Amino acid sequence: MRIDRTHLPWLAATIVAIFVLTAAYLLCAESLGWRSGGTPVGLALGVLALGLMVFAALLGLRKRFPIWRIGRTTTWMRAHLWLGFLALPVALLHAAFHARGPLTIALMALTVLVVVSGLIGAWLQHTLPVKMMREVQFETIYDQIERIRGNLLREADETAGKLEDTLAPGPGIGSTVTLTMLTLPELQPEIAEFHSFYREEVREFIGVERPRVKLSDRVWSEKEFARLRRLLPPEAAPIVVSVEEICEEKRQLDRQVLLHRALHGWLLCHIPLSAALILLVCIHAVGALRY
Amino acid sequence: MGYRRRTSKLIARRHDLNYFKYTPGLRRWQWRATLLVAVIALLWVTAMGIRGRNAMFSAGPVSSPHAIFAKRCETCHTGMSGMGGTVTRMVTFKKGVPDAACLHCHVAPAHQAAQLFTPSCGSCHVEHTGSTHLKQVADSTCTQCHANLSSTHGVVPIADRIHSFTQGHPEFAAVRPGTEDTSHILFDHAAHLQPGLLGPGGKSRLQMTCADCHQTNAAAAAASWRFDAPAQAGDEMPAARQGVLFDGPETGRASMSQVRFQQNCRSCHTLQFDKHVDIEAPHASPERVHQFVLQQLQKFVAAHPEVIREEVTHWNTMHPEPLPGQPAMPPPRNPGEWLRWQTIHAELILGKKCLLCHQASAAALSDELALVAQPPNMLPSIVTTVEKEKWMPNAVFSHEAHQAVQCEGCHAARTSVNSTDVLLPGIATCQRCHRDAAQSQDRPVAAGHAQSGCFLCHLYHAWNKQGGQTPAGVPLDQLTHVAHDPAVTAFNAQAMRPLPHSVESR
Amino acid sequence: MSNHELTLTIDGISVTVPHGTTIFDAARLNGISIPTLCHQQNQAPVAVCRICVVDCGERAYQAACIRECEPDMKVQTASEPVLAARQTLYELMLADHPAPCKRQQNSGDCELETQAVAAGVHDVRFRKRAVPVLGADDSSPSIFVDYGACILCDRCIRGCSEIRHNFVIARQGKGYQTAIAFDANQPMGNSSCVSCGECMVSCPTGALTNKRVLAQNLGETANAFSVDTEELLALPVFRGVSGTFLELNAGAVVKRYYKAGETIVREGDNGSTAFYILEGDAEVFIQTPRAHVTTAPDKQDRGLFAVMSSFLQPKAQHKREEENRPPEYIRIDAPVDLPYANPIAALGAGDLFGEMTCMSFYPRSATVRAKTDCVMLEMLRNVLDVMQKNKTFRAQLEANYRSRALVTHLRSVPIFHSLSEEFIHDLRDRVTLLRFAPGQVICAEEDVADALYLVRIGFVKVSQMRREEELVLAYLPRGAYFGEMGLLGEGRRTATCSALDHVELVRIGADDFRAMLNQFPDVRFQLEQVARQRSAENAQMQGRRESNNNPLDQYLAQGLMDAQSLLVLDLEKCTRCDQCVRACADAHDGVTRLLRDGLRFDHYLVATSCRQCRDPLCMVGCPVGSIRRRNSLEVIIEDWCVGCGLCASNCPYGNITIHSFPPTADRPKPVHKATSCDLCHELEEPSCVYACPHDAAHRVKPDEFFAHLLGQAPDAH
Repeated sequence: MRIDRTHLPWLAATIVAIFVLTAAYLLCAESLGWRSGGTPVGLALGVLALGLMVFAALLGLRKRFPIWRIGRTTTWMRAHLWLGFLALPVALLHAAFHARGPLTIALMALTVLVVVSGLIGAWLQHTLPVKMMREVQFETIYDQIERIRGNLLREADETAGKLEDTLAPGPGIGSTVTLTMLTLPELQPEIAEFHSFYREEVREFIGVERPRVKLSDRVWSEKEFARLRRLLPPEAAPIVVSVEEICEEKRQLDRQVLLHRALHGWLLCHIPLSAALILLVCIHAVGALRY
Repeated sequence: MGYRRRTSKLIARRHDLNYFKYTPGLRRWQWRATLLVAVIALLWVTAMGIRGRNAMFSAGPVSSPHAIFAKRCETCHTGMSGMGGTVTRMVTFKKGVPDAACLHCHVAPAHQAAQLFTPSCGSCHVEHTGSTHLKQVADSTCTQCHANLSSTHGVVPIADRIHSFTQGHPEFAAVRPGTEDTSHILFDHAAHLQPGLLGPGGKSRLQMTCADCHQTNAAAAAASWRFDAPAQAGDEMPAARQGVLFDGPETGRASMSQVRFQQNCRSCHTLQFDKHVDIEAPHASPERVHQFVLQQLQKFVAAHPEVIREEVTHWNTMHPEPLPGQPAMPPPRNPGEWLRWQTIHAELILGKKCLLCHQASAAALSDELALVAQPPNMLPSIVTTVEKEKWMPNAVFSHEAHQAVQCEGCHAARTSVNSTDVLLPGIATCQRCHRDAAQSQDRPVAAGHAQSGCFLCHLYHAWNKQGGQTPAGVPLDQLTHVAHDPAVTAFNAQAMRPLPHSVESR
Repeated sequence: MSNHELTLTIDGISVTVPHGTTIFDAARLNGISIPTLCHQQNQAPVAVCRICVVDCGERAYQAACIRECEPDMKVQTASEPVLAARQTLYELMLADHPAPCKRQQNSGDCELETQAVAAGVHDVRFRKRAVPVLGADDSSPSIFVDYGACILCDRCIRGCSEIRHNFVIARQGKGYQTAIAFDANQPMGNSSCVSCGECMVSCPTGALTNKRVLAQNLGETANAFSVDTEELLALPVFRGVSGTFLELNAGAVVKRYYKAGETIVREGDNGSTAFYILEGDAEVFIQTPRAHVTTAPDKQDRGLFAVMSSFLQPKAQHKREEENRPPEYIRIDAPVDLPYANPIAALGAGDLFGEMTCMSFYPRSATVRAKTDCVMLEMLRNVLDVMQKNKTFRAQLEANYRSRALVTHLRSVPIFHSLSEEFIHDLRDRVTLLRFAPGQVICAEEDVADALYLVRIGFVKVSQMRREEELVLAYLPRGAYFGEMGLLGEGRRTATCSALDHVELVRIGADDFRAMLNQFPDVRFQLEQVARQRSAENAQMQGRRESNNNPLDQYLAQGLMDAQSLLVLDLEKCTRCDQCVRACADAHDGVTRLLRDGLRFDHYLVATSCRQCRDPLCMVGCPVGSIRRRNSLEVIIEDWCVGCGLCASNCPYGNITIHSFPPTADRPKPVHKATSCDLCHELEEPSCVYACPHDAAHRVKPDEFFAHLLGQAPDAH
C-alpha cells in the first residue's frame, strides 16, 4: 500500500486520537494520583489497546474470506495500519510508561516490536513495489518462477539449437527440406565457441535457481553477447539476441525473487510476534482483571 | 524485446491456474514460526505460573508492610483453597478480601455506632498499589458519607456537607466564635512577647520567644527550658490535663508539653514574700502557702531574736509601708505581733503575686483579709486551673511535622492581650497550605502544597472512644500496626512459617 | 421489353434475356442444351475446348459459353455443320486420349468419351500420340493423375483457383508439350495440394480420378461400411444427386450401425462429418447443464456456518430483469433445440445432425446416443455440400426445421414472444429459408430495412463502419435474430450483417408481416413499443461505441483499443499478495478467472482477464451459443458450455481457459467448461477489486482511464 494523499484523513484522525487520549490520560492521572493500568482511565486505555490489537489481528481473518461483504479489504488494511499504530501509544499510556514484572515487560517489548516491524513492513510495501516494477520488466508470478525457469531453459535450448539451421544456405524457415547434418566449414570455430559459451555459461545461469556465475552481471553479459554477435554472421543475430534476452529475463526473475522475499519476508517477524502478543495480552487482560 | 514473441496469450499460457492453492514457502514458514512462538509463549506463562511467580497476574505491588506475605495471596484473599496446587489456587481465587482477613491481625474499632453502613476494609485501604501508607485513604472514602451525612437516627447536622478540607469543612470547634480559653489562668501573651522585658533577677532586659514556654516534650528533653528553675519543695504538681492522652510518653513530638510554673515562670515571677527570708514560697494552694509562710517566719523569729528586737524597737523608722488592703494594725511590740504583722504583709504580697495569674473565687477576695486572726476558710480560694492538653481532641496533629512553620504563622499570640483568647489557628490558617484533597495513596506532593486529606488529621477507627487508650499505649499517630494481642502474636508467628503443602520453600 | 433485355433467336425460338447473358446460358434457360467440356457453371468460362461452338451467322463459329448474346442474333446450336464440327473436335481430342480412360472403365462417365459416343463418333481418324507428354502421377494419396487423359480443359485449374482458392494447379509448357502442373511442376503429392478433390470433381475425363481408399477420411471402425452408389441413389433423399459424384466420393459416405445405448457423438469433440439417420431413434442431450461457471454459489451444504456466512456472501444485486430469465432453449446443431430445463430431445429417421460441424468444422454441440438400434449415414463436407444443393434434400431439411425448431426460434424473438399460437403458426408458413456463403453480405448499413432474419445455422457478423474501420458489434449464432425493425418497414439498417461461414437464415419479409398484422391489430401496438425501446438502446449503443482513434503504439499493439473493460493492477501499489486471485476463486467455485501476469501498460499490469472486447472473437464458432453477451457488457459463459475449447483458442489474449471439473456423485465423468471473467455481474463490484488490500486492482474503461496518456480527453458518453 502506498501511503499517499488518501491516507490523510486516517493520519489526522490518529493524531487527534493520540492528543485526545493523552490529554484524557494526563487529566485523569493528575487527579487519580496513582498511575497504573488499574485505574479507571488506565483500564479504559487498556481495553482500547486490546481492542485495537484484536482488530489489527482480524485483518488476517478478513483476508481469509475475501468476498464477504464486510467492508472493502483496502479499508480494513488502512484501518489495520493506522489503528494498529495507534495501539502503541495507547498501550504506553495504559501502562503509564512503566512495566513491572516479566509478563508486562514482555508485553511492552512485544508491542514495540510488533508495531515497529509493522512500520518497517509498511515502508517496504511503500517502496519495494515501485522498485520491482522498475527493475523487473519481465516480472511474473512468484510461485511460478520455477516452472518458468524450466520453460526458459527449454526455450533457450531450442533457440540455440536452431543456430545451424539459421546459418544454413537453404530455402529458409518453412522449407520442407530438412538438413540433418550440416557442414559449414567456414563457420565451425564460431559455432563451436557459441555452443561452448552456451553450455558453460548460459545453461549454468538459466538452469540454476541461485546462480553464481559471471552471467549474473549484466554488464559482463552485454559485453559477451555483443562479442558473440560480432563473431557470427548477421543471420545469426536473432538467435544470439534471443538467447541474450532469455538470460536477461532470468536475471530479472532472480532479482524478482530477492525483492519478493524482501517484500514478504518481514511478515515472518511481524505475524508470529503479533500472535504471541495477542496471546499474552489476552492472558494479561484476564489475569489483571480477575486477580 | 526483439525477436522473441511476447504476447498476453503466451504469457498467460505459461501458468498453472491452481498455483495459488498451494501454500508457498514463505507462508509455510510464517505458520511454523507463529506456532512456535505461540507455543513458547504458552510454555513460558505456564512455567511462570508453576514457579509461583505471581507477577504474571499484574496485580500491582503489595504495600511494604505486607510484603512479607506478598507471595501468599491466600493470606488475605481467604477462600482460596490452599491445599491444592497452583491451578486450584488460581481457580478458587477471590478478588475481594473479606474484612475478617484484615481483622485477623489488625484491630479496627468501629467509627460510629449509628453509621448507616460500614465500608469494607479494602474499600478505603487500597492494597496492591505499592503504597507504604495504607492508612492514607482517599478523601472520597470519607466524603462518601460525610458529603451528605445521615445516620440511623436520621440526618446528622454536624460534619455533614464536607467534600474536602477546603470545601464544606466547618470551622474548628475550638476556635468557633464564642469559644474561650477556660483555663482560668490570666496571661497576657502580648506583654510577654514585647521586647525589653526585665529578666530573671531583674538584671537584664530580654525578649521572650514562644519556645521559652511552649515546646514538645521531645524537644524540651533535647534542649532544656530557657527559664527553667528547680522545683521547690512543697510545689504542687499541676492537675492532670483534660482530654485524651494521645501523645503518650514515648514520643512526645506531637503536642506541646504542659506549661509549668517552675520551668517557665518562676525565674522571673519569683514567690519571695519577705526580705528576711530568702526562700520563696512554694507554688501551692493558699493553705499550704499560709502554713509555709508562718513556718518560715516563725523559724526566723526563733533564729534571729535580736533582729526582731531591733525592728520592734525601731518600728517607726524601719517598718515598711502598709500595703493596700492591709488592715490598719498597731506597730508590733513583741515578736508575736511582729510575726503576725509580717505574715499579713507577706501574704498580701503573695496574694498579689498569685492573683497576677490566678483567679480567686469571688467570695474570698475581700478587704477582710485578717489572716492571722481569720480562720483558714478566710484564705482566698483560687479557682482551679484546667489546662487543656488537646484543644482538638478528634484530630491528629503533630507540632514536629510543622517544625518548618513559625509559631506565629498559626498562633496569633503577639497580639493577644486577653487570657480568654483561644490562640489556636482557624481552618483558614491551615487551608493556606493544606489545600488539596487526598486522592489516593502515595501521590507525590505537588509543589507549594502541603499533603492534605481527611486521613491526615482525622481517624476513622474510633481509638479515642476506647477510653483514650490505644492498645498498649502505642502513640496514635504511629498507630498503623498490629495489636500485640497474644493471640495475634501467635498467629503472626505462625504466619511466618511456610504454609503446609505449599510449593514454594522460601 | 425494358432497356436491359434483348431478344435473339436460338434454333428458331425467340428468346429474351438480359444483357450480358451468354448464348449458352440463354439456350439453357430456354431448355436448349449445348454440350460443353471445359465449361462448368460454377466457373468462369474459358472457351478452350470449343465443343460448345454454335453458328451465330458469323464468319467463324462462336463458343456459346463465352459469347454474349446480341440483339437479333440468330443462333443455330445443332445444325449439321455445327454437329460435324463438334465431331471433329471430339476426334481430335480422342486422338490424344487413352480411350477408354480409367474413369470410363470405372464408372463409364468420362465426359469426353460419352459425349463423343453421343455425338456419333465411333472411331478416330487421327493417329494417336506415341508418347504422352507426361505419364501418370501416383504421388497424391487421394487423386490419381493421368496426364495422358487430360484434355487441357482448365476445369481443374479453375476449380483449384476460383472455387477453392488454393492456386496449386496451373499450365506448364506450350504447344504440344502443354500439360497441367502442380506448383512448380512438382509431383502432386509433393506440392501444396490439400487434396480437397475439387479438381477431381471438376475433371471431365479420367485425368484426375479418385483413389478409392475406404474410410480414408472417416476412419476405419468396426461399424463403418461402404455404401454402394446404387443403394444411396435408392434413398429418397438422394434423388437427383449425381451418381458420378457419389461414385467419385464413395469414401466420403459410410453407413454406420449403432446398438441401442451407444454414443454416436460426444459434445465438445471435434468432428468433420454430418449424420443422416436412416433407421432408428436417437436422443440428443447435453450432459452438464449445471451452474459450474457462474458466480452464483450453488452450495448444497446448509450447515450453520454456511448459513451464517451466506449472509456475508455477496448477494445478487442489480440484476436486470431480462437477464434473470434463463433462456428457454439451448440451440444445438440438430433439427431440434434442447429445452433448458431438461436438455434432452429425440431424433428419428430422416433427421440430419452435425451440419455445422461438417460445414464449418465447429465442435460437436451435444451428445447423441442411440435409443434403439440405429443405422446412419456419415458423410463428409463435400457430400453434404452437394446434398444441400439437392432440391429433395433441402425440402426435407426445411420441413424438419419448420416443424420442430422454427417456432421456438421465432418465440425467442422478443417481439414474437407473447404472440398467439395462431399468429406464430401463420407466420411460420410464410417464412423463407435462404443460404449464404462465407463472407456474403446479407444486408448492408443504410439499406432499406424490409425483413427480419433468424439464424438457423452458422454465424452472422454484425458490424459497423466507423471512420473507415470495421467495428464488430456482435456475432450472432443459431437462434439469434436481427433486423426486426425491418418488419415495420422502419428506416434503414444501422449495421451491416454478413455471413461469417455457411449461414442459413429464416427470412420474414415486411410485406408478409404487414399482411398478418391486419389480422392481428393488437400486435402492432406491442411491436411499436419494442421498436421504440430498440431505437433508444441503439442510440445508447452508438454513444458507447464511439472510440477515439488516437494511436499509441503499445496501446494498439496490445489490443487495448478493443477492450471495453480492463482489469489493471497498479504495480506501484500491488504487493503481489494474490488476494485478488483468491477472491476470484472463492467467488467462482475455486476456479480463478484472472491471472496476475501479462503485458504492462504504463505502470499498470494488464491482468489476464476478460477484456470485454468490442469485437468479441471468442464468440465466433461456439457450437451451443453459450458464450454470449447479454444486455450489459459482460461476456458470460452459460452453463451449457460443452468445453470444446474454441473460444479459448479464439481469444487472442488467453483470457479464457478450459477447466476440468472432477467427477461428482451425479456426474461420474469429469467435465470441461470454459471459464472467463464475468465482471462478477451478479454483484455490485468485482470481487478482485473488492478484495485487494492495497487498492491496486481496478476495473477500468481503458479509453477513459488512460486518456491522459493517449493525449485525448475522455469522450463524453
